[in-house]
Amino acid sequence: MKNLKYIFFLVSAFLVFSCDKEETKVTFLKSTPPELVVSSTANLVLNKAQENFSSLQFQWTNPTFEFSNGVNTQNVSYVLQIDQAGKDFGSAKQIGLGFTNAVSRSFTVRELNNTLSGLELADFVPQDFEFRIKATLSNNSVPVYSNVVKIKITTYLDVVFPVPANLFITGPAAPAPTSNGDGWMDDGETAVLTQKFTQINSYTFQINSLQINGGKEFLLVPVYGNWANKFGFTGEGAKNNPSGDSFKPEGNNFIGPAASRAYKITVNFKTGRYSFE
Amino acid sequence: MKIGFKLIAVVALMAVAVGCVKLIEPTPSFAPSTVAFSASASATTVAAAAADSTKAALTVTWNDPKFSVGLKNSKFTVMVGKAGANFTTFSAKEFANTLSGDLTGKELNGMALKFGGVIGQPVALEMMVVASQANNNEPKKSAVIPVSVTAFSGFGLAASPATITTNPATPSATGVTFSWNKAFSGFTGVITYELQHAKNGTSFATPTVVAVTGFTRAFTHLELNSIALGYDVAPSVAGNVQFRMKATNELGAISYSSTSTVAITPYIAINSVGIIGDATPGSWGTDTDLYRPDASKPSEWEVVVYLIGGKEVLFREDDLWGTKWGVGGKGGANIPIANSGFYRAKLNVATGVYSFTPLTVPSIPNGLSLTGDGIGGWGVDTNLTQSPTNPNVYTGTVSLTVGSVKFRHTGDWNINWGGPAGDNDPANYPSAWGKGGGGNIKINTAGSYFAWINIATGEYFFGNTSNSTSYTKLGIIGDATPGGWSTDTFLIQNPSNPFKWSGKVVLTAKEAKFRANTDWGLSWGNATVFPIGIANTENNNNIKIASAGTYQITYNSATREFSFTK
Repeated sequence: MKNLKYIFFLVSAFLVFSCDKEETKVTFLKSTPPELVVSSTANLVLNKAQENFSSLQFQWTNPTFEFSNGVNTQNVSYVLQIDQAGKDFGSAKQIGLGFTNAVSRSFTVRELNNTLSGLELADFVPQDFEFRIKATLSNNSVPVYSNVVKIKITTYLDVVFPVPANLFITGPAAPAPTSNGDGWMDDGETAVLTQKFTQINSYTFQINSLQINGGKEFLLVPVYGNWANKFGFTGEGAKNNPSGDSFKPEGNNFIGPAASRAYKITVNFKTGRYSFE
Repeated sequence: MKIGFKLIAVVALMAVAVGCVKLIEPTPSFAPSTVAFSASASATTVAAAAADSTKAALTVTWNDPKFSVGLKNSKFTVMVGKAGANFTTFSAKEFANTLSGDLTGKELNGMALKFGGVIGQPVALEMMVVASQANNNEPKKSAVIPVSVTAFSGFGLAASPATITTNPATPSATGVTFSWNKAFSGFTGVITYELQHAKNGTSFATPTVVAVTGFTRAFTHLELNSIALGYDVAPSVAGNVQFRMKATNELGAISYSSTSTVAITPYIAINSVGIIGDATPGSWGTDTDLYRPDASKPSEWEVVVYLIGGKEVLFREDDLWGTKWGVGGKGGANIPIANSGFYRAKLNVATGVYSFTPLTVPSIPNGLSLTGDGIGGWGVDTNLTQSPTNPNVYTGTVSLTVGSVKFRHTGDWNINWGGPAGDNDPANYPSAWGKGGGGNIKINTAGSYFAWINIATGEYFFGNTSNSTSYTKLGIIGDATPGGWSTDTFLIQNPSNPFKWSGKVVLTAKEAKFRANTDWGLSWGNATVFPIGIANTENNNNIKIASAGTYQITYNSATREFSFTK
C-alpha cells in the first residue's frame, strides 16, 4: 500500500503540472472601436474630366486590442465597408475594401468612382453613401466597428467604350437562320428581335435566355444588318474564354460556349467584358 | 520491493518533471509602452531651393517609446498637414528602427503645394509623429509641431538650338525643340502644361498659347518663320522671340518656367506671286496672281491660266520687278510659251523650279448645272448661264437650301466639279479652286446666291446676289491706309477673274474698309474679324488693323472674302 501512495503522489503531481498549462491560455480582454475620419464629408460631385485628381482620404485608428498577456502585436485586418445609406451595411452589393494593418487610404476621383460603381446605383444623381471600418484580428475574430460617416456623392458613368443604343448577337453560335445560311447577318438584313439584348441599366445589356449552338462563333453588333460597327474579342479570333472575356470595337470573332443549351448573356460596357451563364 | 518502488517513483518523477518542462512554455507578455512620446524638428521655417531638392531640408527627432516589440519592430510615421486642419488630410513619410528622420526639400515642397502653398510664399503646416509597432498597433502621437514652408518652382525650359535661321526649302523640318522638366517639384497630383511665346520685351502681356503633351515640343522652320514675322522680326535679320511654359496643378496653382529666348532669322515672306507677260491675260501690264494650294508648303505656288503661244511670261513678286523668276530660276530670262491653251503654271520660289502643264477644257454640250440636296436633290439639275464674254464661265442666281451641292455637266456625272478638300469641308466654301470629281460643297445658310465657275480653271464661288456685277475700281480706304479716309488706295483686278482684287499696301494700326467705284454706297468691312474674314454692310464695320506693316491684301467683291497677310 505504501507503494501505491507513491504512485498516487506521482499521478497527482502530473495532474498538478497539467493544470498549470491550462492557466497560461491568453484571453482577449477588450478593444476600442476605430475612429473613421474622412478628409471631407461635404457633398461631392465626381467629374470624369478630373479623374486623376485627388479625392477623398480616409483614415482610421487602430482598435488597440488588449489581451491577458498585454497589448496586441498581431496584424489587424480592416475592411472599409461602403453601402447605400439606410441599408445598415446589409445590402447584397455592399462594398468591402480590405487592408492589413494600413490605417489610411487615399482615392483619386476615378478610383472612388469605380469603387462606388460596385453598388450599381444611378450615376449623375446624388446618392447617400455610408462608410465605416470593420477591424478584426487576422482570423476574422472579435470584430469591432467604427463610427459611420455619411457622404452624398454624385458618381459619373465611366464606360470603357461608348454605349450603343442597341445590341444584337449574330453568328453561327446564335440560333436564328440568316439569309445566306452561314449564320452571319447580311448587310440590310431585317433585325432578329430574339437576338436583341435588353439594356438593363445605362451600361449593361442582357439576354435572359438564348439557345446557343455549342462551339460556334459570334459577334456583337449595334445595328442588325449593318457591319459598319461591331464588337469582338480583344485578342486573336476565337481564342477567347468561351464563358466570357473582354471585348472591343472592331474586335475579332468570339467562340461561344462548347455546350449547346440556353444561356444568359451579359455585356457590360463599364468593364468591357461579357459573360455566358 | 521497497527499493524497487522507490526507484520507479524517482524515475517517474523525473519523467514527469522533464515532460512538464516541455509542456509549459513561458507565455510571451507584451506590456504596453508607458514611456511618454515626443518629437521635435530641426527648424520651424524651411525655404528649400530647387538645387537642394534631394537634400534633407528638415530633420525630425523623437524618443524611443519602448514598445515591447523593441525599437527594431517600431515604426515612426511623420504626418504633415495644413496648420489647424487637424490632419484630416495629410501626407506621410514612414521610418523604422530609428530615432530621427529627414524630409527632403522636394518632399516638403510637394507637401506645401498639396496644402495650398504658392510658389515663393510661405505656407503654415504642422507635423506630428505617430509611433507604433511596425504593424501600426499601439499608436502613440507626439505633440503637434508647427513648420512654415516656402515652396520653390524649379521649373525650367530649354531650347535646342537657341539660334536658328529658318529655311524656306525645308518648311516641315524641325527647327527648334523645346524641353522642360516637371513643374511643382514633389507634387504628386495632376499637372497640365502649355507653352507660350511672345514678342521680345513684352513680358508675355499677350502671349500666344500652344497646346503641348509630354515634356517636349518641336517647332518646324515654317512655324518659327511665321512666329518671328508675326512679332515683327525683319526678314534676314536675327530677332529674339520669348518662350516659356505655364503649368497649372489640380488645385489651380500656377507656375511659370524660366524664359527661353530664341534668336530667329526668318526668311522673306513671299505672300504675293504673279505671272505676267504678253502670253498672259494681263499682258505685260497686270499680273495674274498665283495661290498656294498647301499652306504647309509656303514655297509652292500655282495657278491655272490661259497662255498665248509664241509669246512669253515671267513670274514676279508683289507685282513689282524687284524679284522675278524666269528661265533657270530667280532673275532668269523670259519664258517662251510654245502653244496657246490653258496651263497649270507652278513655281517653287525657294528653288526657282517652274512647270507648265497643258490642260484640256472639258466639252459640255448640255451646259452646266448645280445639283445636290442643297438645290433640289442630287441628280436634279439647275442650269447656269454661259457667260457671253468668256465661254468657260457659267453663272447664275440660285436659291440654295442648307445642304451640299456640286457643279456638273447637265445630266452627266462623268464631268463634275467639287471643292479641293473632302466632302463638305469648310475649305470648299464660299470660294475655291475646284477640281474634277472634287468634294461636295456644303451650304450652311439657305438663301439666294450668285454662283460663278470657270470650267477651264476650276475656280468657283458663291457670292452675294447684290454683288454679282464686277466693279471697275476697288480700293481700300481709311485712316490705316496711305490715303486716309479721303482717298482710296486701289487694288489690282485679277485679269482672269474680275471679282478678285489684290495689292500690297502699307497700313498703320488703325481702321480701313473696302470700297468700290469710289462710292460709299459700295463699301464693306467687318469690325470683329482680322486678318481673314468676310466683310458685311453693317454700320460701324471698319476693319481694325491689329498692327502696322506692309500687307498683301486680297478681296473678292462677290463673296466679300478678305485677307491681310504681312
